[in-house]
Amino acid sequence: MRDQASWAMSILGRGLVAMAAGLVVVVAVVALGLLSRHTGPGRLALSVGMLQLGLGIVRLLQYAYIRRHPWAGWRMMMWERDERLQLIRARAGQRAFVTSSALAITLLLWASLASDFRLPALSSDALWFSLVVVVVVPFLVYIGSVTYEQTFK
Amino acid sequence: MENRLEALRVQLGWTQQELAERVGVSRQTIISLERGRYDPSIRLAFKLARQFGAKIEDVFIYPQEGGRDA
Repeated sequence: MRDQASWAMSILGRGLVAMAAGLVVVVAVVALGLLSRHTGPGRLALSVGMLQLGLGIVRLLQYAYIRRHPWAGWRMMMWERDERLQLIRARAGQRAFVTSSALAITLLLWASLASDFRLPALSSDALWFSLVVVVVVPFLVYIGSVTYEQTFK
Repeated sequence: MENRLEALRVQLGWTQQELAERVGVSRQTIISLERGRYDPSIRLAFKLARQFGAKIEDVFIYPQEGGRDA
């Protein structure tokens, strides 16, 4: 039970840190926007700040739920610490990393060769889609790998 | 790795969920262990053996290596 209590406290801690970080970013962006005409990447930073704030709120709600339902909290803790699941997630992460690296290197090589006119240059649309592929495909590899190993191994 | 997990668990009248909770893993891990699809860490192997009141080698059967003397 002590183990579960410290795990619950770690969730609370992570939630508070995420909320604090998110709040700092949001306040900073809003303040800079009010003080200056040039906001730069203000919207992007604001989105990141709000995302952090949201994640922090989720953690706090999770902590509140665990406090009210200790048995469910124990099960959540088991799922998080289960050794087989940790191994599955680690392998999936490794595969996603390799996929991400391969795609990023391919894109970099293309851009390098395109600057020498040995390959056609990427239009801004093609570049955008390529970047989407580089970001999304590793996620899909991760999710697919976890699903496959959970089901068949 | 072959094991006698299912037989020992059934002998004690435990469900997979009960065994999972006793050793601190998910039910899916117990299922994978019983089907021989997953080999446990040494710590988990000790926990399981202790739950059954048996030695590790009585629960998990390490395959003999072919062509080598014991």
